[in-house]
Amino acid sequence: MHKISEVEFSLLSPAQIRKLSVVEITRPELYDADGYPVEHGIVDSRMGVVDPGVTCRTCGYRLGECMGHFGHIELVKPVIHPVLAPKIYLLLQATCQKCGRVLAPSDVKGLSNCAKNAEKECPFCGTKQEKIKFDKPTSFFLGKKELSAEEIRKWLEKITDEDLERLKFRGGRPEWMIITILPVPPMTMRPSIILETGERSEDDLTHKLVDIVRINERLKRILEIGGPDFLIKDIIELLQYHVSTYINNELANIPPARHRSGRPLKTLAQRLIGKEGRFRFNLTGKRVNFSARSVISPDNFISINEVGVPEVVAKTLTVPEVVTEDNIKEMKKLILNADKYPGANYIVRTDGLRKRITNETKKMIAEEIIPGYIVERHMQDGDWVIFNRQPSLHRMSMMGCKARIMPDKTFRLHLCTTTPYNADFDGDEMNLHIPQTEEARVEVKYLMDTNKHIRTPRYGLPIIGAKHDHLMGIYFLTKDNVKLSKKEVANLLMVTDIDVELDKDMYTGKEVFSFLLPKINFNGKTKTGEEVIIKDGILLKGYIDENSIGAEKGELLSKIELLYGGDEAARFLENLTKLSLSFLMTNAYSISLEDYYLDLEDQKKIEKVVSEEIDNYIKMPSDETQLKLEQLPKEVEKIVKLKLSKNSSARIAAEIGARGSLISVSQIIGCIGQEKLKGKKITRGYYGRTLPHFKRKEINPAAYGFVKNGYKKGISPIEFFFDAMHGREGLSDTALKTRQSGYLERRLVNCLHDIKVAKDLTVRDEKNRIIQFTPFENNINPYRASKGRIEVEDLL
Amino acid sequence: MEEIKQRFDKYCEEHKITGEKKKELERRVEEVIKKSKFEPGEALGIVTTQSISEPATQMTMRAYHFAASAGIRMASGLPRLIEVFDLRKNIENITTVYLLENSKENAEKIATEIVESKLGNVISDINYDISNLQVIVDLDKNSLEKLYLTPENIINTVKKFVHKYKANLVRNKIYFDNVKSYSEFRVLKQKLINMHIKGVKGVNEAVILNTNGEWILQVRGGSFKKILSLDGVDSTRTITTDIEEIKNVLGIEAARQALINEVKKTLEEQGVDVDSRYIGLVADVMCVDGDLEAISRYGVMKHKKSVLARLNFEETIKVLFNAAVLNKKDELNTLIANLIVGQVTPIGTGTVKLRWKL
Repeated sequence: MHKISEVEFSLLSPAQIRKLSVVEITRPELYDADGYPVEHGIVDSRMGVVDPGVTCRTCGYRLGECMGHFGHIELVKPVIHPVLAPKIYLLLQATCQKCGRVLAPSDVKGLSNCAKNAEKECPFCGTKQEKIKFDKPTSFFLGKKELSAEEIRKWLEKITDEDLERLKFRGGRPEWMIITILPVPPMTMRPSIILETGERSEDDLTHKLVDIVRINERLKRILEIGGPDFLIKDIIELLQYHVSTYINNELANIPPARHRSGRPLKTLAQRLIGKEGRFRFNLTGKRVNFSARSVISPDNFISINEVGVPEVVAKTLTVPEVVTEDNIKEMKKLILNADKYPGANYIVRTDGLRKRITNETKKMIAEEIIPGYIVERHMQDGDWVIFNRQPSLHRMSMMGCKARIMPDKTFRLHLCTTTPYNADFDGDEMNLHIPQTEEARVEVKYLMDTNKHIRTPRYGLPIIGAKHDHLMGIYFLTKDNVKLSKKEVANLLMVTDIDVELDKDMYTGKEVFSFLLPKINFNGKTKTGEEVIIKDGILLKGYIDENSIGAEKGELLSKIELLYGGDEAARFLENLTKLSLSFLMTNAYSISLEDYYLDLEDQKKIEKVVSEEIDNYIKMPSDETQLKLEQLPKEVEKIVKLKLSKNSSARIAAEIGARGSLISVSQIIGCIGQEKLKGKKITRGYYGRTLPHFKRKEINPAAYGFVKNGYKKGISPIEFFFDAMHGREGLSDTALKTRQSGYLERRLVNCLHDIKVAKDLTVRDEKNRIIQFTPFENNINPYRASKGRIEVEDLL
Repeated sequence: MEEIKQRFDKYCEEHKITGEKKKELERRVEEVIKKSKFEPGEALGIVTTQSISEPATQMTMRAYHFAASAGIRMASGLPRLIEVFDLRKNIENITTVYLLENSKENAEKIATEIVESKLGNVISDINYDISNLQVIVDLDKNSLEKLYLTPENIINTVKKFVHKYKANLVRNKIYFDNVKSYSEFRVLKQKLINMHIKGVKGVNEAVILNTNGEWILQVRGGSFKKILSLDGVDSTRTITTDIEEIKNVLGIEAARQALINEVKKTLEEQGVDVDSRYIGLVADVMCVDGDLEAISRYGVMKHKKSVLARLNFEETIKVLFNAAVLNKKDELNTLIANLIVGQVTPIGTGTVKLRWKL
């Protein structure tokens, strides 16, 4: 295949336009009475086919094969190119009105520099220069006299090629910026569509071209019969307007051309620009085949790097497999299965011909195949696929998985992989892509594999890890004084792939957990600061919580990944989650209002702290006392931490990192605290007060959004109102935030995407400039090292 | 690498690891070092972008927050992050001033040196005596004392500032002779009230804080250069949030570090965990030319050579026609350009070719 090495940009010359053109357009009509395109009309059939069954008069190809051909319009009077008008202005400023030489001193180079430094008198012919005025978008004045496009063209023709080089005007002759001949785009670029009513609806460009041809022809006629000057001037102006809006319909100072319905027309420039334009939508946003999308649901019994694929999907999406001596038997079997899973949909012969496998043809095809044929077989267990959830914010949003064909119609994924995808199961949908070439499959397997992305490059800790119930179960299993009989242990280990001999009658929970561990040493802390000690793969002290194995935190998991690799870490995690959930099922966990219960005495204590702070503030309102008020939930949290029962389910969940936080618990039990808007206490509302229930300039914090009650006790209507204000701010915040951070990301990626580690291990950009001599200062990839550092202790 | 080896030796010494065990451990350390090196072709720029912008979606929109011990308002969260990458000019820059002498009194004194005072702040009255065509300005002695100023100081600055009328100081009053009309008086009054007498122009607020036993000042607005040059200010530690100012005063290396510090601080406040070397890379890109360049179409993007990459970003029409007039060529070195023409992008596995045709 040939490689494109360069893309060049320049102006199109009238001669080139004529050469490209297959027909001159002179008639403003589209179709004749019989519904056929008019000869020399705007939809002349020589410009390409857009209807099925018609062959192109120029190239003889049919719909889909004919790329279309340009036509052209000879403008009776030239017009100015609206987008290039500023460049014309610079050229006029930079050159002499009489001889067309550059006015600036000979050491000045570049278009805008020469325009800025132009002399008042021509250094070559001595003509005094009059001032040039540019009236946006397309009018030019020399002194008081308006310049016609013809005059400007004559002026620009005078500029010599040497001067153009000095002006760095290299894209062609400047007079080409004055349009004398207008290219008419092929029909394939502006197809007309047939509505259900049988009417034809033309493209916006066609509409605009009709206007141009109509005015052009009218101008031709009036010039022939010698019409009055003012009329001619008016019509030229109209022609200029139509050509201007044809090229860009969003020019400043002129009204956009509109469709009959009042909608502004989408003309040439509008097709290119913006998010829905050609560049961002079609050229950088590629669409693919061999993809599927469905609702996701959880499955704890598949691997981390597996995805459950519905059979319907597996039967539609195929994997091309080359027939060889070794696999011809299996391939024949697949072909004979045809549309029965596992089967095959197509074969591709060595000469490139595709044949569909149906129940009728399957026997014939199975006989036909020889090594070298390609069988497009159904997706099967173990095929590598790419699994993705939008928004794809980081590379872990697209990971490689092994397919596992399943009944029903949802994609199934392992619960631990919800964090990198940011997925939940309230109706989320995800996408699946099946790589079609060997290179792609290899990249998916060796680079994108989910097991290789357990550690995030962002901060070097596992992003795939245990969550919610997994943590709950493993806590109840590994906390002190859990005793399990041999039978119980056997039942638990049954769900895992651990193969051990049980030679004791009783086991502790810690011992059971230790079965999962590889030979590893680990010293860590739980979330509450208790010690966790693992020696030679045996959990000796402490319990396992979020800090050890949780997603985005787990240091134990990180260590296993570091020492034994991603596959082993994934196996550990799979076993752990299965074990944890099956243990949790024998060891019920529930939560109720009782878990938020404090003794009356302690409840009073909280109330006392709250009312004390309020009194303090009322006595002396200042920044300091306000700050104390704002930090009240933290004070309440201290009391809750001290007094709430150690067996409270809410507390356990918060402390091991399974769900919630002690702050929320204390907001439920004790006091919600200061509600804020824009980071400040609430002051907006009426004049001098937030609500009509208060006096003006009241000092009581309750008047400015302080909520002294907790959710359990219930909050007053006014407090509820403030709470809702705060809640609403949060909602509008998230709505605004996504847009802002999306734009930041777009800018960052556009600025940084070419930066890569070069072959000499320096960081370079697209111009081959060195950005960093050693990647990341110390050449340690945070994706490969725990927390981006290498600690000797971690390696023991 | 050397540093890790040293730490390894130290660790072995501390834990009395020798012989076979040490060799085994050393092998392991070397293996991990080797494994954690970057590979050629790694798309560092893209990973960096993702590592910064993915957590940015979790950050708050709250534009301001108040430093813990009350006082000065600081930009924070996502808006601050955008501000830094944009190098947006923000007149509300905060300068943290460290002092040479650590005492509350000193801090208060220097605060008066920094906060801009106008004549309007120290006068109790301005009157026009029509019969004598005189303007009488009453100076407020108390507020003058607070600013460590004397009436003599004032009259000197006034004489430099007002040339049209003769100014005299009698006790605590300044007299201007020959003010001919009431309208002239009004003009003079406005001029006098806004007259700068002390402090750094543009500074409207200073808060004295005590952090870990040290008295510091936080100052909003004003020129960083002028604040640095004040007596009693520790110019080796005093720092501002305005990156552009830091570049102008302290140079590009300082600006790079300030950039990293600012972004890091903003991310940390939000409880977002990002390896700081990613921020370092962005800072490096913004500073490679020896001048600061914003992450926008006016900065880094403007200097990209690739036409296709630029027209894919913003201002498509403008870039396209400029390229046509200047006869630009895109040599297809960038990802976007190759994506647009439908070729393999030159990054990662795209940087190498496969000999074997599959």
